[in-house]
Amino acid sequence: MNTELKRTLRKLFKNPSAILGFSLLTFFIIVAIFAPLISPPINPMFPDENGNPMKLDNPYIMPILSWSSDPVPPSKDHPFGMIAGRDILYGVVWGTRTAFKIGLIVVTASTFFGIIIGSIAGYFGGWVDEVLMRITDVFLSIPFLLAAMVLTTILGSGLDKVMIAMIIFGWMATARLIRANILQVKEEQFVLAAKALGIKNYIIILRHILPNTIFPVLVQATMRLGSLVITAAALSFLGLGAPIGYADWGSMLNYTRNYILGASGQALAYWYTVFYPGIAMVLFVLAWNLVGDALRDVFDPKLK
Amino acid sequence: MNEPVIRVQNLKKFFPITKGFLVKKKVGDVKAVDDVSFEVYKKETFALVGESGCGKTTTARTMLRLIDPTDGKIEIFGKDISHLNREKLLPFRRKMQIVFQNPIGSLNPRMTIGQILIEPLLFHKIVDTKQEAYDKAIELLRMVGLKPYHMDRYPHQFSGGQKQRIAIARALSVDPEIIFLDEPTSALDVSVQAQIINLFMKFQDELNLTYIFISHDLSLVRFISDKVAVMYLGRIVEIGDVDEIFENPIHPYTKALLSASPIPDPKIEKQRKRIILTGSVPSPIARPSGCFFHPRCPFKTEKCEKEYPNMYKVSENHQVSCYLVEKEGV
Repeated sequence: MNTELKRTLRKLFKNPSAILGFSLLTFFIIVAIFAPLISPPINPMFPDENGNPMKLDNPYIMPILSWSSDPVPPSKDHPFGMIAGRDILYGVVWGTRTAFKIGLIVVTASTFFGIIIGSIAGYFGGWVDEVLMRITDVFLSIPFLLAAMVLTTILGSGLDKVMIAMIIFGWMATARLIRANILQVKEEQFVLAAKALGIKNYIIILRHILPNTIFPVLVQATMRLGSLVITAAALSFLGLGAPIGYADWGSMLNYTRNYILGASGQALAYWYTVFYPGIAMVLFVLAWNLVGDALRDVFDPKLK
Repeated sequence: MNEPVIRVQNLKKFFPITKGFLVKKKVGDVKAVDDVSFEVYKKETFALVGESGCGKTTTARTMLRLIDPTDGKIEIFGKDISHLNREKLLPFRRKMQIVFQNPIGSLNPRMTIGQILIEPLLFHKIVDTKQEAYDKAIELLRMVGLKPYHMDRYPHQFSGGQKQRIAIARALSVDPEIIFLDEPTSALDVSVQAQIINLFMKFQDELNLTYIFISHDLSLVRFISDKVAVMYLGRIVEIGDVDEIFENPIHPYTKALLSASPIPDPKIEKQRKRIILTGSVPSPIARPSGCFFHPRCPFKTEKCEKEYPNMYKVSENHQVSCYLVEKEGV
């Protein structure tokens, strides 16, 4: 088994896109972990009694470093530039944590609900399947942004509310995927053989059906982790998500709305306001997609 | 005469066809198995033959209670198991096992051979410890002609014949007395088929197994079985000792089936008269009136179109459901 693992790993690290994916992901994880070192959560504008800069109560709220809200080009103090009086580097670095938080929580929760609903529908079939799948269809029929907007109007805006909206409207694809897989696998002869041996239903589900159905779901979840961050950013951009000043890539882009077109005659005058949060997002999605691809190869027993 | 190990009485399995959204309306039945009765004695090989879709596999799966029967009795060692729940069925699960047609699909691709063999041993508490289970699994592998080092491999690392051997080892793991062989060799090539068949015959001898053998391969059926039942559209049309049926087939369908199976001698084969059936098997949803076979039967009479023929006794060990018996005065 151990040699199997080694061989799998070796194979994995011969694949350039897998290496790229894992290194990007590692980079983001390091940034997220060492955020307080890269961008210390302090505000130099307000020194305390000892003359040291004030510590922030909530490091996720970006400190306001200047009273001018116009973008300031990259400089030595602010290598990514500034917008709305906030350091873009700070926002991008702490936004990494926000991105992980949103991605992991939403994907875990929605995948969990999806698996439960999908596997019940698939394994038991009949009217249970019919009812659950029609509910899934109803959820699928509502455009996501619209649903999220309505929900945040009801629940109030905020990052947690956006996450709730994304969980409520994010489980359907997983449910359908696992249902389809279970429908296929439950008629397989090895499942019938297990039934003929008298093995209990839940052991059949856990040992014979889920291991042969869950991996596509895990791969899909990994890939969704990246794209969810874009969705959250879209909501934040629309002003539904994170509160003003929250370190979140989407909110950062929200500030740039007035500057996206540049100054007159200079379309790229404020490029840094869009570029840094944007590239962070693109690389984050790319990382998860490549990791998802690599996992798909790893999980396939025929490639072992 | 001793008691039969299996007695199937008037077994029926209908699959309902439904229409409608949410509220389903039954619009008909697929009568996959319709009123099938037979007995199988210890150490016998009982063959079920017939075209695809005639209900052989459904009969076997219903007898194993992989599918619940619609009606009828399935007596195993004198006890009717047709309505037992999962728990009460467990001792019978140990007595009856199945080897499937497709060796690729019958092994879980994510379990090693060891795990596949050890699972039933521990589940049925045939052995107490994992170590004993491991030893027994190796012994099972040896029995089917594989090596102990195969234990840690995955199914996709084996050939079709080897996979079938593993499936046989799994079936033998719970010390069954009856094994259902659902076309166990049709997915294998000829040389491997012979090895697998020899394995079955060896185990029947050593372990006193009773086989229910489902096959298309009539020469194979003749070679290994004691009794044979010919099925057509969910019903048994002719049943009896294998020599009786092969030497003296009475039902035109049996005759046609037998003549379709080639004789491995070109001289005889050339001179042989063949019965060619026209048309295809009618749908099991809307079966013909009277004898189901009459639209394809070269000997049909008016009576055949009206009434389904009863089972007639041709001899002690030969029964047929055809009016030709009367005509021939048997």
